[in-house]
Amino acid sequence: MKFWKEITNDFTYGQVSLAAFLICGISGVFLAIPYDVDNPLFSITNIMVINPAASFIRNLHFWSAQVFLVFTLIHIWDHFNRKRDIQLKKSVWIRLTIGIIIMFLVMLTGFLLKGDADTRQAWRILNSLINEIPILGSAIAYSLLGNEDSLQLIYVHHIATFTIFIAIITFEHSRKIWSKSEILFVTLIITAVLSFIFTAPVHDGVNLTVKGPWYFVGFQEILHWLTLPWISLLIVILFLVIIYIVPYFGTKSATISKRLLLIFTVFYIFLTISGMFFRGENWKWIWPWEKGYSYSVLGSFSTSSVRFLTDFPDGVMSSNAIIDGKKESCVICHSDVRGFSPSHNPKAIGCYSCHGGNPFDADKDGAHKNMILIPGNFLDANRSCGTTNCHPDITQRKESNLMSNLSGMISVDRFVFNEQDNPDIITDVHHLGNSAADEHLKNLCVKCHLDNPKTETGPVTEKTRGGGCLACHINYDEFATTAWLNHNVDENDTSYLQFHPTISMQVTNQHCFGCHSRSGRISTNYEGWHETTLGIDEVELDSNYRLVEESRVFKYIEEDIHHSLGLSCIDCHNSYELMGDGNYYAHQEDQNTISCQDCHFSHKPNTLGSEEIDNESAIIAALRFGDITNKNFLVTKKRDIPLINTDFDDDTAYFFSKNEGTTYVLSEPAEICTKGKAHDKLSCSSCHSSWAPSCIGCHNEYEPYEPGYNMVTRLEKEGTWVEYVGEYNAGLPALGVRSTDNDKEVIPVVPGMVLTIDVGSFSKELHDSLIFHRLFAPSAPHTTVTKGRDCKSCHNSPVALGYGKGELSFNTDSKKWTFNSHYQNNPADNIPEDAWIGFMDDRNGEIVSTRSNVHPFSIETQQNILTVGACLTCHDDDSEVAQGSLINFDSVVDNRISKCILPIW
Amino acid sequence: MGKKRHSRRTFIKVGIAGVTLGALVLWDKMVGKHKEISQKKEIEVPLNPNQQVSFYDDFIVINNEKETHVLTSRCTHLGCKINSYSGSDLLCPCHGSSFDFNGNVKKGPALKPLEKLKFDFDEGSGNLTVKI
Repeated sequence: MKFWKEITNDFTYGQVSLAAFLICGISGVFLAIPYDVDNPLFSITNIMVINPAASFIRNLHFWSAQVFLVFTLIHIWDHFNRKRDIQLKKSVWIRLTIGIIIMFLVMLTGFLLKGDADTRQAWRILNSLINEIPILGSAIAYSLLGNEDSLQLIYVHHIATFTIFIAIITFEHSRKIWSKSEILFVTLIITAVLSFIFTAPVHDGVNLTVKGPWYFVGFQEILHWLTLPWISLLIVILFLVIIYIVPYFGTKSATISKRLLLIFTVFYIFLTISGMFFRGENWKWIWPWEKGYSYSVLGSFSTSSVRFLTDFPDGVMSSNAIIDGKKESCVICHSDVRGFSPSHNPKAIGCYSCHGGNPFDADKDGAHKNMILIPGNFLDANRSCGTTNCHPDITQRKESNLMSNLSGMISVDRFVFNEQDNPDIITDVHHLGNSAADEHLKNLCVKCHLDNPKTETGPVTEKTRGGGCLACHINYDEFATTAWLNHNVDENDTSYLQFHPTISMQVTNQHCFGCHSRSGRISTNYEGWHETTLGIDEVELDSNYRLVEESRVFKYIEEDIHHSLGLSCIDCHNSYELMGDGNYYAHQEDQNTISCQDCHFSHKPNTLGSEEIDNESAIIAALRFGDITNKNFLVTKKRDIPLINTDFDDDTAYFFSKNEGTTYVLSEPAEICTKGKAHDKLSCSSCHSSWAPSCIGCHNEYEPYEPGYNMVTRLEKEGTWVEYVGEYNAGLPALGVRSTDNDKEVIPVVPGMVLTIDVGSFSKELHDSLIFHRLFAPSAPHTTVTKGRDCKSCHNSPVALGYGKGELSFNTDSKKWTFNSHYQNNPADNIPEDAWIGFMDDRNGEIVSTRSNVHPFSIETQQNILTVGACLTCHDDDSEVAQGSLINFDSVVDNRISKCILPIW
Repeated sequence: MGKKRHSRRTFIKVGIAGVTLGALVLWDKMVGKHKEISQKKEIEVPLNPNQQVSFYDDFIVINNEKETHVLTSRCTHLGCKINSYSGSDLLCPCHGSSFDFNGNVKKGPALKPLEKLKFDFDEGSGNLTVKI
């Protein structure tokens, strides 16, 4: 009781301030032992990570300084608030007023001595501000701050100049050196508790948010609004002048001045709060409910307590790995982890830059707090793969990638549900609503989406969907896989911690397979497999049949020639196609830049030298293939994107597989491909696709009581759209015409959306209760073969022309073509089930495909094709007539013999 | 006697003022000379012609299609190091200013454009020497 009475009797804010100053000074002397002014950040992080006693002393230094500042300010305010004069000489009072500036300077120099990202910027701000002082600004700035690359002068001012000044003026005005021992003791206890619980902050060097110390944040906010920073100096001078003259005013003037100071203080506190809690990266205003708030704003409050007892194994504490100028606690425990590619070696980039957490906490739980177990998911990509020194340019543009935003899939689906009038509207998977189409997408489709997060560790399999950056860039080697499997069997087996999956550019076909074995089924087509409607029990799994995802039965048809040569998906598809190029596209063919002619050309190609290509391509090329100095890269015709795995040298074009490094010599197109002008509008794939998968007769219905799943929220629910499959087919694709601004191109098409949708089952309010659509889809079958399809497979094929399967025959008597369909007409539109168009029709004026710009052949073109087809009923592909037709069909017709019968249209 | 005391006090005041002024001049000269001889003048870095924007401590190298130029990395508002870009904007992390790749202000509080710095390019070594 006596003790508390002593404290109560002797308590003044000045006493606490003096006590804090003494604690700060003494702890500073001890802190100078482990602190290294030449390596400030490393020495501080070293203290934090492996020297708990030093960390505690640093915290004591920090917290006593904060207490000193706060109580000194309150002490000043307290003096003003008392209705009696300050009994000080003018000369002392002026030195005390200057002392306020010195007090802030000693605090700021302490802040600068951290040497972290915040302080490097603060140095420049202070330097610029002081340089604004007329005449002597430059000399003052340099004398105070010294050279930017050395903290020596700042250190001297911090420990000597300013500290001594404060000590002198403190003694001068209070005639005290020591505070009351009781108050000193209590202040010590309070600061010690604070020091134990809250470690003094240091910037992690990764977070982009730059903020000054808390007492400077309000000033930072003021500076944000001031285009002329010298005005801020006037504000500071005005503030000091008011403080100086307040005691010498009459009562009335003093009251006004004090109220001005109060208003300024309240305003400054408001600015400080707004700067502290509502400013994020690049000083942008951010609300707490906005994306990234907790990282960019609250990240700077992340701290930990002092760990006197750590979990570090003996003998590893002194590990001196310096990561970007600092020490990380993670690599002390995780020091012998294997599996990293050189670019992601933790000895270079640490663990924190990918996994977050608290790299300066010496305790396992503390270090793992807020850790990102699986980095690379788009939700937190900006603070893992996309941090400043890593891949921010890629993560910034990732949303523009169709595999991220799913614009094409969503837009087509909404179109077939009659929710929009064309299938080409650019949209985003993050904007899905609750319409019938959007619910359909959420139930059945949007799991295949890069932003679908990877939530469990483990290698990429057929069932993998999404995973952000890791969807493509993670690989488990043999050891990592074994260790991971062992851990799954026995969770006490922690050997997996020694084998990190490799993060690299080794993107295999397996990475693409999960999503691309569905819908267009490009991955399975490429390998030669066609999905059937057969059940597992109906087939014997051998070289002709395989299972995908343990239940889907695939039949072998024929693999793509590029697959048989050993090429991977990424050998053709470049980084701008796969990770977006910053532009938003409606459909995949708009986003993709690669075309067959980029590699298989007959004229001298366009190339770019190693110094002419963009940095991303250059880095990827160099990482994959080493020295690229003398390379001449082929470029895509569409957007001049360099094909980094090519080299055009001495009239020979070389191609290198990206994963294996195998060298190929690129071949020219066959003569037939470029012969004459008859086929110059045909895409390569229209002839060289050996087959394409298709489906017809699909029916969609909403089952309100069936168990369902929302692929966006990843939650189970009652009620779901169900897709009843009709028929899967594999065969030569039909052909259609894609019109662009200046051109037309013949392309493969398949029945993509010949279906019915019972929207009435979803909502009785929808009056179009049963929707029927007959839409074909442009296809990139990825079933390329060397030999193109024969002439009759187009000119005499009802499937190629869009009529569907059936008998297409030319009657030489009537000189007419006739067609008998294999399928019955669908009563919804009176066209055979598998057809795109009726015989000699073109459905002109309708949107008849999943794109507005893809159409069947016009009636005139159908007539032209079938006219040639009539010739082919007698003449073989290699015949003089057939070959001559490629050069000049009119001439062939003019020179025909009397036996030749052409159709009459 | 009073006049004498006044003269003496005036003499001391003038003397102190003179010494102070002299000290200030001496200080200014000393710091000016030290800055002149100790601060960096030329910095040599390898030019990466593929990279559109490269950040260094004191400058930013911008490679446009056919031309390379160097801008100071010091924001014209308060000297913060500009260390990131988004799209075609160079971003200042401290107070939110942004500039285009030619250094022109796109968003304040900065008012003045970023200074273009002189540099030499040595084709032999492929290095860029920037004069600060």
